[in-house]
Amino acid sequence: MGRPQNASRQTRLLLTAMLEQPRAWHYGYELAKATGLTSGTLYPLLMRLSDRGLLDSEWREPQGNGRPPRHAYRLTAGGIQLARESEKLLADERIVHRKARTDL
Amino acid sequence: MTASGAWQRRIALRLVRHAARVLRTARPEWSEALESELNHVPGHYRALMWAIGCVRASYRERYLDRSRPLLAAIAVGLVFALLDEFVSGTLAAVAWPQWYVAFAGSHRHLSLELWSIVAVTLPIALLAAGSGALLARVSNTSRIMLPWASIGVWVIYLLVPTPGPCVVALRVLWEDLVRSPTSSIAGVVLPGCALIVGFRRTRILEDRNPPATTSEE
Repeated sequence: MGRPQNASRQTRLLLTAMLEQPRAWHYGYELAKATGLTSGTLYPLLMRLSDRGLLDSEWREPQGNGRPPRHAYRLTAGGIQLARESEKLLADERIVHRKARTDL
Repeated sequence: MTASGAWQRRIALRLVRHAARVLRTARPEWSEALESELNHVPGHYRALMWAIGCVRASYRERYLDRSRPLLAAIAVGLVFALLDEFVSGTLAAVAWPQWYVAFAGSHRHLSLELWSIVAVTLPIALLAAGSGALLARVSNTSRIMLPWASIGVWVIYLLVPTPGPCVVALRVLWEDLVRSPTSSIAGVVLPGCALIVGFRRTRILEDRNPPATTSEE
């Protein structure tokens, strides 16, 4: 189920990172670099989002020679919508944090 | 490539293969994904860290995440058992004055049993319905065995001998059953049914109003 308010901060980070290029295919390591998540956190999130129909996944041939194909991920329409809501929530959180800091 | 670096890469490779093996039966495609992605991680140290994370992910996925709904059901059952004990004890203390205990002992009357059901069992059943709804929200799955697992934990808790006057819980329960069969049976059946109904209703309501964000392309 896609309830952004129930999604963890890591899920929102991941969705927001994928939203930068919503129709592009993303790879595990690149997503980990973009979000700062470890593979131990990233892969369970990817599996969960894929189970919920928010991500498409497929095997893609890499550009370099002699390397095995990579598992790639892309947001579905539902995923894009959830990612947009997550992005808004993350932005709101940042505003609240900034306000709290300035109030101190 | 330094010798120590190659060593780290070799360990990383072994770890990722192990992670893939752990995950293979549950999620074959994802196990291959973990394995192949290591080839694209630059740097031996990073590869090692990546592989350690993959092992964590595989165990988490295979064991913890799969058993999480069941653990939630067990936790809800235990919380409900404790609440049941506290609330029924409080209600009994408030509603059953000393004169009533003696009166109930000498008058095995159906109306007294009904009174007990209304005063104690119905509030507990409402609590059970709430527990069922809570379980449906936290478990995030529709499996009907989950409320049964909660009820199982609660019943086991009832059967566990407690210190003090209840030296042998089964005997006490049996005596209760003989003394007041209707309220004893209702005391288990009504909350049990309420927990299942609470779970089912919440699941049905959530399925009927799916969030728009889950729509497929």
